[in-house]
Amino acid sequence: MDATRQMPPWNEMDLHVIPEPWSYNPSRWGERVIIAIVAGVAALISGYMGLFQLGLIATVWDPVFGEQSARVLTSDISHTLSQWFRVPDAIMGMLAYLADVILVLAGSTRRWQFRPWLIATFGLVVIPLGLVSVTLVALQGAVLGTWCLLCLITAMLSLLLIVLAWDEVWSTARYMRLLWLETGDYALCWQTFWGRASDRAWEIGNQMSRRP
Amino acid sequence: MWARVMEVVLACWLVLSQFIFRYDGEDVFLRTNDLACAAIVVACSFLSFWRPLRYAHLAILPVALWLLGYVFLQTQSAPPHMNYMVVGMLWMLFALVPNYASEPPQAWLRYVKNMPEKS
Repeated sequence: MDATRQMPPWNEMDLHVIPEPWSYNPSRWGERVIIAIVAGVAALISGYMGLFQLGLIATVWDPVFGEQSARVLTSDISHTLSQWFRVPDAIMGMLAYLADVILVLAGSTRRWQFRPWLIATFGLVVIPLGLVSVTLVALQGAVLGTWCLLCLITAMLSLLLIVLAWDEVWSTARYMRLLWLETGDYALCWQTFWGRASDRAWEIGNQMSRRP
Repeated sequence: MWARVMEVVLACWLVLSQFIFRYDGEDVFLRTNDLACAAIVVACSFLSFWRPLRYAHLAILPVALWLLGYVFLQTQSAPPHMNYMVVGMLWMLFALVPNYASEPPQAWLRYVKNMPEKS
């Protein structure tokens, strides 16, 4: 283990500040664990559909649309996507949801300020990929005229993830924007984005947040 | 350091997967590739525990990209290739996670610790 590592001066640093315009800390563990659970459930559902696409299970559960689910999961669109990804598209979906889980569990409760790159990566995985997931499900319904209950559930979970992740992404974007507007220093913004500490970054972080 | 542990777990999975997916007896390349990639990843993960080499986990990124690139060069998607895709993607994600990821970055810890001296 790293014996020379500095111990965190928790008493000097308030990790639970609340950034404007929220009434709560968007990086708090309570919210992030909920995101991890939602993404984990979506990953499990996608993994189950992936097992069907791989031929490891014979049928796919769907009490509402019945056989339509199997038709969606074995459709031409699905085969085309699987050829692009080199794995079944449901497995790729599972990996995207697992990415949400991994990225939401990394970082402290003030990561919106201390690790902007992490929030940017998390935002890129959750928001655009979530929208792609919803679009694909809508496309399958519109083009094929068939629906898949589990696909619809994962699409709804994707939308829920976007709603849950939005506040943290917004806080980081606002923090970086304020830093840019107040300093106009490209190098400083770049370094802050990658987690470098500075007086101006500290001041702006405190300026846009309050203690609980 | 949970991400480092997960990288090692995935490396173990990759080594075991040749028995699970029952590679062809003559497929020496895949077996060697599995062992080489797993060895590099385990080495990088463990080296990350040593402060001077704390960023060693980033060296896992090229290994992950190699697995993904190899899969995209194949014309067919056999089970070992799909396995490479999954392991490569997960390695790439875990490699991005910093050591002691639940704490603020060292730069910020040092900054706050030295704050009284500044003022």
